[in-house]
Amino acid sequence: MHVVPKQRMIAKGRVSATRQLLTQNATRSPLTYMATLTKLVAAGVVVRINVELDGKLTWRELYAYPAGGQPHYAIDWITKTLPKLASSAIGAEDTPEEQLYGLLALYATGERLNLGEMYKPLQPHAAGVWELRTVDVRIFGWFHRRDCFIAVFADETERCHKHRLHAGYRREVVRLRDAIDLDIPKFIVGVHEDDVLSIRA
Amino acid sequence: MTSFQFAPDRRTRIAGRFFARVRRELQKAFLEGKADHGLTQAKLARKLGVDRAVVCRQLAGTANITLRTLADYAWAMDRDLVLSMPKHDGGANNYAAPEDSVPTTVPADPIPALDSQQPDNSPSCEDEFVMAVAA
Repeated sequence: MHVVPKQRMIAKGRVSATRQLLTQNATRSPLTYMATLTKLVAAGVVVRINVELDGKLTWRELYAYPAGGQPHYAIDWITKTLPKLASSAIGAEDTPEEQLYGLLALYATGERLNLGEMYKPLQPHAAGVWELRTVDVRIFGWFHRRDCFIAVFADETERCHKHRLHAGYRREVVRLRDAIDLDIPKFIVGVHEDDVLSIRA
Repeated sequence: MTSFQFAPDRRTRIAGRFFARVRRELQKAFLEGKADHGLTQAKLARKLGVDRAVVCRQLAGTANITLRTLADYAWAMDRDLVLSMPKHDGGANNYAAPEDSVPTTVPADPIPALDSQQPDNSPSCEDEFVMAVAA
């Protein structure tokens, strides 16, 4: 049987137009080449954060932008800045590190978090940017899906208020999220607890 | 690097979880009181005999709370306090959720029953305080 090379078949118009269109779409359509979160983790685009839970099971997922980016990328800030914040700048009895650990431990184990006090959506809500909040720490990011938060930036509450950084962080989160090749829908738009979190029994 | 372990020392972890739970329970009790019968910080302050700003700071976590203060809040909001200190079994960490999975079950009643705050025989108990403000 005579085998015709594929290029010659295309050149001669012997491959159907539909098939050619599918081949083109495979390289052009974002729906076909955007990666799952797992692939982005494997590629080092985002990093999974495992919170030490002393034997408790992880219920919710937490990811962040990798270290080595900017000083306020979540992991860089947590590893380099957070340990140096020995005491609360606002007057809380617990240190910023204790506050953040406590919040992330409750988040990771699937416990209830008070909406508005411990996490809240930033305005405008359509942007789908959320902050995880403690007395002294703010983490900015988005929920890729329910119980799956991608942390982008971290900063001190006092600094955010003093320099009015919320809008800037929101815009940067949106810009970085737009630039990342992640499955669509990339983020959840919502304002209620049930929109972004489920509660472990 | 594909994963990052956030594991402060155990002292920090116990303190962090304890403070977070106390703060959450206090805020939750206040928000429930607000929703159920119009409780406000001003009403709470009057009942406790303190300035509203003090209540505001304490609920927000920016002012220290003593055990006496905590007990007074429980009284003022008609609640009980539950505090337990179960033994730590030294269990190893167990990350159950695969990277691309999501929990598939949502409990019908998202608010844990009061009994769930009591020490039990589960393998994951810890030698730390667990606090709840019970209705």
